[in-house]
Amino acid sequence: MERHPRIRPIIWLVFAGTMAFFLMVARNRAQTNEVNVQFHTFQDARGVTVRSPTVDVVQDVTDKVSVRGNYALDAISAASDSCARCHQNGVNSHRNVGGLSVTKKLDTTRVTVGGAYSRENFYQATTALTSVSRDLANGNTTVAGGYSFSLNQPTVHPTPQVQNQFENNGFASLTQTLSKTTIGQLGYELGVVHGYLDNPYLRTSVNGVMTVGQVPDERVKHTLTGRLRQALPVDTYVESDYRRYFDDWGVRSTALSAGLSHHFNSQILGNFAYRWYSQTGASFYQPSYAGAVPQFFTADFRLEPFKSGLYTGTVVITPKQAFLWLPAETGITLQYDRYRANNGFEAAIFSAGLRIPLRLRDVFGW
Amino acid sequence: MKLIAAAALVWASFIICSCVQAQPASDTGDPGFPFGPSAIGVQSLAYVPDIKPILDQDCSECHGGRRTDGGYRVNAYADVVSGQRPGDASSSLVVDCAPGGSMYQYFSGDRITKATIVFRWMVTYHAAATR
Repeated sequence: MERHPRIRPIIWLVFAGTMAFFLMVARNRAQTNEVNVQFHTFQDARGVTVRSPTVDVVQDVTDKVSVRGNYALDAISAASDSCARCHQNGVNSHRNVGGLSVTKKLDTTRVTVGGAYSRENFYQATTALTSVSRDLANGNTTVAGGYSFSLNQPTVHPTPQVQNQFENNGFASLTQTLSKTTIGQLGYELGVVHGYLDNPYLRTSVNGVMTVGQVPDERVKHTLTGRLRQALPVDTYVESDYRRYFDDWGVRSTALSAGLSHHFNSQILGNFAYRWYSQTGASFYQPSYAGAVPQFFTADFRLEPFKSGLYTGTVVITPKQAFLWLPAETGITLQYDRYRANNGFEAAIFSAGLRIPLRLRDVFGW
Repeated sequence: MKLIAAAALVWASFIICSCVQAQPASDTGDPGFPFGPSAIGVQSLAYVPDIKPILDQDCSECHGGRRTDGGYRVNAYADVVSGQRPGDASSSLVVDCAPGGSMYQYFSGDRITKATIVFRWMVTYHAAATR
């Protein structure tokens, strides 16, 4: 609002981009077009409830150019413990997220450029991204790489001061078809963040005095990933993922996940997955500090050592015929997630989604 | 029949979603020093020894005696807490006295410390009259 006059050019840029997108869409015959609408609700044990409608639009402008736009609104009620410390009844909030990207296909190469913007109470983020992928060996091998830059701007509430955080991310991946039923992928991501990296909403007890923590102003993050997808007989698939993360703050983490998907028939897909996660704490993390105050100190629960487990069950129903006011091929997704960590954090997430394959001309009358 | 069942499933899911209630926050402890390092310690704060001297010095010129600028007076404890929500940082006294607030500029001397004292008195000590 008044505190962020600099975002106005960005809003106009997004608005102009959106209008250009719709003009392009209106002028060209679409090859593929879809409007996906989803709604989900979230509740965790720290008192946060989030309800989110999401709209995702995919449009092939020509047979070589496609445009993707998305918008999401998170309505957050009874906001978190951080808010409840100072606001007895919690605080209602909302977060707006929008993104636009264009993909150009050149034979076996795809180039994507895009951007995203999100804004919520006391935090906004602006991201520009680009990526390239290329299919090799008759499509059995895909190499990809990309880069993104984000300007994150937290407001050091309750003061009106706005801080800057600059985030650079680069990634490379190799996807290989190993057999008729097996696909593997290896990936590496490098992230460098600098600027204001403290969490203004979490307090640390220093000699009995609660105060905002102090962390380094740069963080270099490395992530290695491995994925395997194996098709089994009778329409069943095994998915397994490995993720190894380490950074120069001393955080090391390992994540392993495995899942099973099964097509019960052409209209019903079921999935069950489990994810195990373990991380060490940041080298300077302590629950509280006493005596001489070190240069860096934090009690941020995200930087403490912990282990967690996440169970996910999903059912996707795709009726072939139209029903109610919904067109044929509409997908209905029901998902339940149960998260538990040994630091006391728990969350139960229930999601209900509708994936509606609408033609834009049906929606807008074009 | 399957379609009706699917439609019922969708509506049931939305109803379940809307029934999810937030649990009360569990960490409602001392919010600490919200405006950064401060000269004040962790002792409890009360109106008579801590807040009244600040209001008398910096606020009473416009909000004391017969003056009620903005419809707010600081003549007595009852006047000061009138319309406030002890324990809640959304209280107008906290918001107006915080850095960036309309009254912050009128604090003399160490403004950060005074704003922090007002904040902690209202939020942590629920606008206590005395210690």
